[in-house]
Amino acid sequence: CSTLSVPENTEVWTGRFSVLSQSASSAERHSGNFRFTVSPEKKTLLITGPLGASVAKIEENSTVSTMETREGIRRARSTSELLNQAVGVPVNFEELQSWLEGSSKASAAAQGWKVEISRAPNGDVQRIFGKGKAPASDMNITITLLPKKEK
Amino acid sequence: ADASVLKNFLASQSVSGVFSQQTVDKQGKATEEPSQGDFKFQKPGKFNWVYQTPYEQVMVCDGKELFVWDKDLNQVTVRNAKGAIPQSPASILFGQDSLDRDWDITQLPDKDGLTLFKLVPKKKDASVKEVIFGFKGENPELLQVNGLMGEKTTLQFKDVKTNERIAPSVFSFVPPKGADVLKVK
Repeated sequence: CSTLSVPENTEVWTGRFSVLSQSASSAERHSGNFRFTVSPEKKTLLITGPLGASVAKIEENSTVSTMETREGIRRARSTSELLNQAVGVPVNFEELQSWLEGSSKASAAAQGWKVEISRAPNGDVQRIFGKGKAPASDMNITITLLPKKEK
Repeated sequence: ADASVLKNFLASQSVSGVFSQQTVDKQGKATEEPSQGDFKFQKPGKFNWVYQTPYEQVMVCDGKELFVWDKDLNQVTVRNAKGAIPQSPASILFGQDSLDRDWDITQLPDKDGLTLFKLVPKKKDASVKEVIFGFKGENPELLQVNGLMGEKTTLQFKDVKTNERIAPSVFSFVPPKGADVLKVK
């Protein structure tokens, strides 16, 4: 069966994630797998749910951000708008990549996110815990990521 | 091949077995690591579905509530079983009490020694495009779930046993100490 290979000059992170959305009256949590691929031409985030079902595939290149879901393909000004629609996390790819690389402190504050990153003994980012607010709502968002950098 | 294989199998009161799962995108490229695990079902509405690798995930349904324990995330999410089952693997395999009501079923020509059935959901907002069920003799060997974005998840089954007694404790779940438990209304 086809194996997961990392192409030349491309970085790939895979892992588990969960998103908790909480307000005064409700709470919902979803988890799944993600695969974030960064190449010179584009960045791609694939989100999958139970039974490997694709939830969303978000891509950003130098000119446009697009998201493919079961409803079809749509464009948006930013990846944070698309990520918010896909899993309720208004974070853009630049931000997400800085979390995965473990270098998030400065930019996270600017975006209103409080991010905690714990590392494995060898220094690899092991767990990311992000707390923020959903735009125009009283929803508190907590995202947990368990990333693995593909070699 | 015998068309009643599917109906006979789904009439089983209990089923257990081992599975391996692989998902590929519409270009046939793997989208995630293959996963392995085991499953047990007991009618009405109870199941225990465990992914062991690459991430340990336990889904236990006691007929009333569905517990999803994500070991690495150390999170347990509890939902009412009614609304939750359609989202879990169980609904496609064994959760259906009336297959014909929810799926259009056609038998396909045998292939690689398997008796094949294609199930297409009748509901328009279903979470899958179609399911292919492959049997060798009386037992399922293959379940292929074709997703709505062209992805294809294939489950291979082994050691499938039907109508054996399964201890009731298999279908009850106690969240581990220290886990972050959330009950979703």
